[in-house]
Amino acid sequence: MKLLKKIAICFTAALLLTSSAFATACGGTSGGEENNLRITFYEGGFGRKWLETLASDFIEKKNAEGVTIKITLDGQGADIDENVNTYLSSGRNLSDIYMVRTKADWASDVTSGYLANLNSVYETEVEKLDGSKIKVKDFMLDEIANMPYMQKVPEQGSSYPWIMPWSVLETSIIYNEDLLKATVRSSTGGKWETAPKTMIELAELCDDINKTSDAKGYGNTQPIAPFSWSMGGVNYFQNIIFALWAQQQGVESSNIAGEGSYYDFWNFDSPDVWKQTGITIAIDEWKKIIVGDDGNWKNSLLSNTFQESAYAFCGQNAVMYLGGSFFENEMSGALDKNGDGKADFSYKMMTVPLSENGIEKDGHGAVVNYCSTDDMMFVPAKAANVELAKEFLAFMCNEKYLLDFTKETGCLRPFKYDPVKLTEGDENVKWSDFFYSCYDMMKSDYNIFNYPKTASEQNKVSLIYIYYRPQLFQGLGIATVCGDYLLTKTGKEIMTGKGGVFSYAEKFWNECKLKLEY
Amino acid sequence: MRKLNKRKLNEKAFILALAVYPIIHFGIFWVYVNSSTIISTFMRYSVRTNSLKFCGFDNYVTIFKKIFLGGDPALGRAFINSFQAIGINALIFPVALFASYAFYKNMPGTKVYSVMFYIPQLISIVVLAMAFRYMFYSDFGPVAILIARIAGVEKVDLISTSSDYLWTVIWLFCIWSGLGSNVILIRGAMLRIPKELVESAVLDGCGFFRELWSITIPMCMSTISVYIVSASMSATSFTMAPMLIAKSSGSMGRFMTYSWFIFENASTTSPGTIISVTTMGVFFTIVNLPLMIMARVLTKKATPEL
Repeated sequence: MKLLKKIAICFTAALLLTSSAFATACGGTSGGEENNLRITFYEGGFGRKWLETLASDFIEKKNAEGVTIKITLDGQGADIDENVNTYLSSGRNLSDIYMVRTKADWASDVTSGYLANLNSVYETEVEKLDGSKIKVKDFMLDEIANMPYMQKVPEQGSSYPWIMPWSVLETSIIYNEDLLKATVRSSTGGKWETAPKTMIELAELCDDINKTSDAKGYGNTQPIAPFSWSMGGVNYFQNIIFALWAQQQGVESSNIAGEGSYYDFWNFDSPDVWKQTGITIAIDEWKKIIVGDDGNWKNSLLSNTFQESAYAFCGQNAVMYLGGSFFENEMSGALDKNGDGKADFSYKMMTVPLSENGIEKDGHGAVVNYCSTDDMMFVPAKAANVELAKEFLAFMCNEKYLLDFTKETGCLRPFKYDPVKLTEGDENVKWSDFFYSCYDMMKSDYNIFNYPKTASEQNKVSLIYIYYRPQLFQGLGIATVCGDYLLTKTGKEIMTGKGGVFSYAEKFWNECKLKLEY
Repeated sequence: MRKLNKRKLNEKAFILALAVYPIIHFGIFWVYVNSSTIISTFMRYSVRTNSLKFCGFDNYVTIFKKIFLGGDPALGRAFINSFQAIGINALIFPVALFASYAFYKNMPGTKVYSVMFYIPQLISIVVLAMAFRYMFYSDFGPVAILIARIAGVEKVDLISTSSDYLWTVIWLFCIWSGLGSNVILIRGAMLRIPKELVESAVLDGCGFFRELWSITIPMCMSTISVYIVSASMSATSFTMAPMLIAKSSGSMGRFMTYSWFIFENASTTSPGTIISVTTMGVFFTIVNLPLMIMARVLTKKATPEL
């Protein structure tokens, strides 16, 4: 009995010590293994093949330097975007590099000391395929070259880069070229040969699609709608609105006196930026296409989720679809239903059509497209292999690997490289028509980003942008504005009317000002 | 004497060893977690200094304005939506009670129905929700097709966020998926009713429904009280069903609930946002408190021994 009691005491004490050690453990190492570079990345959009080649080349390079390393590729689903917050704030079981779809609050990670400074990466010279060298920071697209930079403590010390943008994704209207060319053009009596260039033409195309479908002109048993979209993917509405708004407002300099330009909006100098006339015109322009006079959706095949709307488009139930340049890679399985190794129909992306009275460039209406750069890479400050991770990030920026990324995924990294020119004469590389359409869009008059580019060039990016990242439809949200509000209100009512965006955005702006101790 | 002291010492050590762990656990996971949570709601995060500053009740005032004075219509809507959980539980209760009673009385088909009731409890709610959604899909969902045929229309939209019927579908899902566990709970209580009591009542001429009303329900009152108290608190945790069925909050937070709102916003490393959602959580508990106390007082009257 005595012995039993002693054993019980010892067991309880051991349990207590172990549990306490687990429960109260803090600080210490991140849990990573030295020289084993662990990369946790979102695998859904671009897959892992591009990373595998890169990783093996990097291992070879390090071996040649006499350093033996391992690279573990930890591909994850969409939940990595949320889970990474837990890892960063706990500082435990950290990977050395994270590649996520979005992380709007990365500025607060910098302030909290969670992210490693990537200055050495941006200052590294990488090699172009012609053998010349260029610093990573100079190699990045000019439009977003300053985006990763910020001060760790607001308005104190130097600015450093903390993240690396992963890709630059063109977003606009993807269309089924076969169906488009089968659409009877009422105004001419012939058929549509090219994608619409103006919003008036887009409206005309939608009418013609409905008429052709009603007349069974596509040989269809089921009706074919102009657009396939879903409430779950309504943010692609917003991307079109961004481009239409920039056409009206002016991209870098204001087209409307006293209101500032599209890029001025994103610096949030005052709540009045939400009153920009270009926004209301853009909403009205888009509303003409998608909302009928009876206050119901028109020209639409509505699905429940973004994925379903993509499948409906791939099933040729709609002629157009709102999406991004990742579409081809992501939907490759659904595009080839008969399994013959090629897509069942021809599809391309069109530039955002021109709205009336928009800005001009070189004597013609300026073509403006919106690019998403939400996905990003970063290195946790407490990672086990911070320096190795930085070296890997810089290694990725060699032009060879940028090109490899594009070959594998059909998408671009945000650098000044031209995949088509770089592969001229290479018979092993065959770019798809869809890729060319996205590639041509990158050569448009303007590719716009949600970033205060003008202020950044003057080194005057506001703290509200950096720390709070307000939205175009701040306070109401995209789902509300592009849902019920679009059906029942005009652009002006949505933005500045009673219960409109401005009333909420102004409150939010004042709250931010208070918190930032302006 | 010396031997006695040693024995006492060993006993004390034994008791201490048993007590220390729960005390430390209580200290860390209850006292520390809850106190730091509540204290943080009185703080404001300063970006400039990366530190917290005391701000009194400012965070609570902000949340109050957002919910009750229209400062954030989506949050206001989410707040109201959360209380639908109580309505759902109120609807589940009579069905669960009657089903339990039917099983307790070994009505024909009891075994078959028991399995049907219990199966949803064995399956993950995510899978259940997916299967349930499929039944209501406008293109191929059997329920949606049936309704469309009855209504004489081509299609009915039941589960998109623009549908007026989505809340009905969410309620149906909650009832379907939540019924089994309550039937298990109440039937368990019924099975503990002394057989002699029931036999005596039957001999006195007590019928099927009289037995339910006068014998079964009063004898199960302690379990029913627990159900009522937990139902009164259900608004605080009404998350999974709307999230899995609606998938998106919809326009103006039409299908959002308060706890879903917190869940969605809590996933951040931003201290300011974490404080904001923490305050929302504490605020909701405070607002919900009178309802919980009222439920407890009422059930206490019905079951003084509980």
